[in-house]
Amino acid sequence: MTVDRFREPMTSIILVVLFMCLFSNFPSSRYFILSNIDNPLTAIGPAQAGTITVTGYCWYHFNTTLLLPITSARVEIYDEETTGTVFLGWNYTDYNGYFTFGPISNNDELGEDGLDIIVIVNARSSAARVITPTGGVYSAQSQTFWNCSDGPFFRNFVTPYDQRGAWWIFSYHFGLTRGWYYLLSTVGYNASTATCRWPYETGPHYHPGGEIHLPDWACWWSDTILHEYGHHVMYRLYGYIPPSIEEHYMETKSNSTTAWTEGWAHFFPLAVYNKPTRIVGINATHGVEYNLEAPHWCSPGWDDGDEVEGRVAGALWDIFDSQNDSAPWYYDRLSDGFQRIWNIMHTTPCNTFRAFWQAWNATFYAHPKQNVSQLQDWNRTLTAIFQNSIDYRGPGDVNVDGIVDIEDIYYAAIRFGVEKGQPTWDYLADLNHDDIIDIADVYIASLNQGKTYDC
Amino acid sequence: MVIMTKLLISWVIGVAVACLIFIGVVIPPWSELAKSFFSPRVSPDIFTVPIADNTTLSVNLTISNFTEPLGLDSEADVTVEVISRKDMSNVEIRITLSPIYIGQGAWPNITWTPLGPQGIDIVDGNSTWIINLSANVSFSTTIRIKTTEVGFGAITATAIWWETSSAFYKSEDALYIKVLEKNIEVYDTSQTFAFP
Repeated sequence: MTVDRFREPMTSIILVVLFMCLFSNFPSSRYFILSNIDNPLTAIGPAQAGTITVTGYCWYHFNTTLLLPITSARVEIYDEETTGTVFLGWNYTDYNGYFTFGPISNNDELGEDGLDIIVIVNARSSAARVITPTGGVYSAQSQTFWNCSDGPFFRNFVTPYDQRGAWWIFSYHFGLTRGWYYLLSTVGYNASTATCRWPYETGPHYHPGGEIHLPDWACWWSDTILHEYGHHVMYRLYGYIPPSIEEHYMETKSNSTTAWTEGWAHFFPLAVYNKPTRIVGINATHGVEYNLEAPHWCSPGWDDGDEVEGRVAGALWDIFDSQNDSAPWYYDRLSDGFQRIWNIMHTTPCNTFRAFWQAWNATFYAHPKQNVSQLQDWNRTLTAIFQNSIDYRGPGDVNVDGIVDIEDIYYAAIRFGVEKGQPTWDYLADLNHDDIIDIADVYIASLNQGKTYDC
Repeated sequence: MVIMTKLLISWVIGVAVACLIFIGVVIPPWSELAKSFFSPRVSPDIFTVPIADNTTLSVNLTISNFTEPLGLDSEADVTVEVISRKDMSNVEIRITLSPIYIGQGAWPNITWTPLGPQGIDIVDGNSTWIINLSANVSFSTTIRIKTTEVGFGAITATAIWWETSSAFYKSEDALYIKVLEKNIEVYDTSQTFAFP
């Protein structure tokens, strides 16, 4: 029966045509096959059109002539029609600013050529959003690329120079995305979206649980952006921001909760960039640079103690950094990185730096400490903190070993009569912080002789 | 008995402390303990960064149509207009032609590579001026440029006025010129542009 049919001329012609459609360059068959392979969904549609894959790199202006890739931005693809634009879909750029979208059907309705592609790059991702004063997300729209051909469609897209402040804030290089990426890459924390309204109001600040507000000039100060992002992170971890006073300064006492809140935020950009300097922008052209590696007890212009935000930031930095203090003090010999600081931040909401230390002490050491390694780590952490004029030692424990014994008395005694500024001066021995090592210090050590501390 | 023990311990400690003080003073291991403060930079250092301030000093670039036929060897006039809100002396105005560079890497370790040739050159006019500006009186000048090869270049006009040795005003404007074999595209700083 089948053989007979093949012999019929009409049947043979139909079979030949079908064969040609499938294996020749006849457009409908070729595109149907491609669609079927690359994207099964498009095979459902009309077989008259092929597919298009939109790819490219997105860039923002570092200055007028230097471009940097836009990382982790949402790129939306549209088709322009006489009735308006049709949203086709979206994807994110990668680290290099590269995105790809498709393949999708390149069918632009009956009688027309390929899609009329518009690409819009948005300062928006799961990490960050940068919005205008009126609340719209910053975006850059390309021209319309009319009647795009089938196949790959590639372009580089450069966002307007006039918008560059928004992209700096959004960016991986200087902005919110950098903070988000740092946490993701170092401790695996995927921070929720931070929203920044720019340019807005006159001073940089964070609304707990809400937006970061940056004035126009603040977009140029990466540390300022990341400082506010640090507040955002603290809020997301704690569910609140410890009570803070509005007017506070790096070097002077505020209170313990403000110092902790601001100290953490000052520290955050230092950790992200692994640098000791916190640059505080004042306006578009001027900033103040604080080297938080440098301050020590009684630094000129600085108050001492854990109610000073710069001291708290310096203490966190000295725990974090790999730079030991210079000879001959050696108070900071800890190079601990970010992991354990984050561990406490992540697990134990603290309102003060002392609470942070207590949580650290409770988390990382057996009580009593069981080996030399733990004791050494405890000692180094306390002395790194001590470097920043924050003294959490037990009374009389001059050498920070958790026991007040003859060694402590000796340590103070051999410096008896030494005043600050003299060659043998050592802050550790000045237990009452009165700038002279005298009988009072020896007395404190003697009085507490025999005590042990687990701080 | 307990009181006696405590008294004894106190006496021993007292004697020990006295001995230690004596040892510390008489036999000082000064060379070991010699210390000096490292020099902290605790006084905030005000520094400047080159950031545009378009509110006090502003620069505006405009460009005429390129001569026909568009493409290579076309010419156009680029006009720079500078205006300030207050009197300024010795304002430096500079026009720079440059390729466009793209950067890769994490700040501050970014490397820059040019996209390609800048495609344009100055054929007439000065690219640098030192002028005195009166408040709200504009200064303008023109240069003539020519397309020399297929490429993508930037024309940047910069005005800088140093009010003091550490405080300055700076303003910039730019135009982007994409030179094709038989066409030229011009973009200003408000536009998104694309290139293959």
